[in-house]
Amino acid sequence: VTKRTLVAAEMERSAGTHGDALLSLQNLPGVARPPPFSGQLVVRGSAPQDTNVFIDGTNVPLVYHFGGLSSVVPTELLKKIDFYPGNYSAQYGRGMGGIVDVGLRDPKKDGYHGLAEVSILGARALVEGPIGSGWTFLASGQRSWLDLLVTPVLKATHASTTAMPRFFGWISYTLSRSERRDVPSEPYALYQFDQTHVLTILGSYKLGRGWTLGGRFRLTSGDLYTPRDTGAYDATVGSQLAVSSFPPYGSRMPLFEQLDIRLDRSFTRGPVRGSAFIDIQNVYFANNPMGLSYNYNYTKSTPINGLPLLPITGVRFEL
Amino acid sequence: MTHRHAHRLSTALVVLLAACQQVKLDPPNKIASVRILATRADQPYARPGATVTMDVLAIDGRPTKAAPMNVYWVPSVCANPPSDMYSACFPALQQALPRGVDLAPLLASGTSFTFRMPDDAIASHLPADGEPYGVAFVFTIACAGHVEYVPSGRAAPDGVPFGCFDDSGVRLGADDFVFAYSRVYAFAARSNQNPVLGGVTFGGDPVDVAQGISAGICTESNTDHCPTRPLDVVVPNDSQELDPSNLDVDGQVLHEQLYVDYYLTGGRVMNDTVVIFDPRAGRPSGTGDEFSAPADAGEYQVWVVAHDNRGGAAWQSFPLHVR
Repeated sequence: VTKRTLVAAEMERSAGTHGDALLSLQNLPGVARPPPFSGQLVVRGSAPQDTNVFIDGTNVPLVYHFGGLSSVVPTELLKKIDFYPGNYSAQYGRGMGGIVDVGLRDPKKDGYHGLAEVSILGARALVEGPIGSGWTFLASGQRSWLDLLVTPVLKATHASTTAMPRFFGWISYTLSRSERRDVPSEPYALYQFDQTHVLTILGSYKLGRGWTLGGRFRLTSGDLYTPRDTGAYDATVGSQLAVSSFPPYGSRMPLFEQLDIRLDRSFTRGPVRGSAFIDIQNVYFANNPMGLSYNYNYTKSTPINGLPLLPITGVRFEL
Repeated sequence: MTHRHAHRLSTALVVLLAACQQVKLDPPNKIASVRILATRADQPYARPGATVTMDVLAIDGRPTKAAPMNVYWVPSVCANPPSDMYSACFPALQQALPRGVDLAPLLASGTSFTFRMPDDAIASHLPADGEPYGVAFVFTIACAGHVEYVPSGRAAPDGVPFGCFDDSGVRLGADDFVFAYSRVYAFAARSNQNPVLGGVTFGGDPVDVAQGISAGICTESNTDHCPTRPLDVVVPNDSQELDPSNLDVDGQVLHEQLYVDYYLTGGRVMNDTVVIFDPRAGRPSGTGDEFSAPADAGEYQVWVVAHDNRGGAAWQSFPLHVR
């Protein structure tokens, strides 16, 4: 059984994830780059819905929100993340992809704690502490400005009580091929979510004096798509139809490449710990076509590119 | 956030990215090639055994014409194909038509076509919910060359089984060739009349379709900033008929929906399609479109096609003079 246990202290400072530990799952071997803004986990070429996420034993069908830019669980609450890319226990029920088993920590008992964080695209707060007779509480909330800006929005989180090593990182390369057929009489064909090659190089280095610099580079196979051609014209309705080539998803977009860089600065003033960061996605503005947009009769097309250069900055104070 | 909201958000973001692409594709209503815009049956709902006459609005909008555009009709209509799918008619064509030869002698030509709705059009249709019906598919071809039968094969089972070729045998592309299908329904008692397109207004004034409309060129570098003038259609209220198949939750019979498509060889309109009659609310306010002129002076043409959602259609055309 392949099992990878993640350390939140490392995950939260991964470049391109905005400090969201669950988003760091997308950097692991066997996990493909998800479709843009989908908030999905594509494990070993399986469909996103074939991978189940459990939080303290409860299946959570939609673990990312805000267009896949943030997870629903604050990173500070995570105790452990166990990731099984396949061959996992029957206790997790049905599933053809992977399993993510997230464990949450208990609220702190040694006094009241809180944090507030504001980034250019969102804000959030968390408070926790004892309430007597052995009871504790924890409340957390976040508000993204995404609905106001209608642009890609990233929520930022970072910090942990766990000590972080001076350097961490890895190079992962996954070679996989996902094929399916709808009926036994049909030949096998590439499945929609196949990404044959997934290379991820990730690292984070503590520069000293509170500064940390990290980066992530991804080079993966392009997305599969189904080319379209001119079909019949529905003259009764006034609508041009397309003809989709067979088999579906028989063509592939160019290679995906992206470099993300993150710079953190931590500081302490009395009982308050603070930090600021800037996380830049797609530093050198790679185009990365994700799909095609066609003209009315499918004779011309233009690529739909992925995220442009996207800098996110934020600040947080923790008591 | 629910799956539905997540899907909407991701769709909105992808659409936003698509809108940011550098290459702009021509809008579907810009006429610059061989086009079939609409067909019209004199009886959108016909009785079995009735004689139905079809007209086609076919346009040759090519800036340069190496050969004239011809309009053809497949003479045998296709009644009640499996699942009412037009592409299910293609296997029968494969048996009936030779390959590698000019099909002109086997096709009907011209902008009108007459056929007889089969006597068993309703009886031979598989039973379905609601009123028994039948459907006949009529195929129309516009080609700036000659037409040959070209089986589409397994790779594209819904692919068009015809090709358009020039005199030297080179297969022409979509700018020179359109294959269209039309549906004509058969009912024992139901009827549907084509919408009445009483006229067009431009800037609030009636348009003389013989004289056309005039406008000054747009001098803005960004065409989004070009001045606009309202363009609207005159369709009498009684053109919107009751649609017995369209019932609300209380069983009340609603009306059919009417919409208008605008096509131009120059300039543009804000909306390619405008709903002019709603099934429940009737004619809403603001059914007009906004026209903006092209950057170049010249003579252009505008087509206005009114549809109902039951196969009815009507159209008008007028010149556009840009100074």
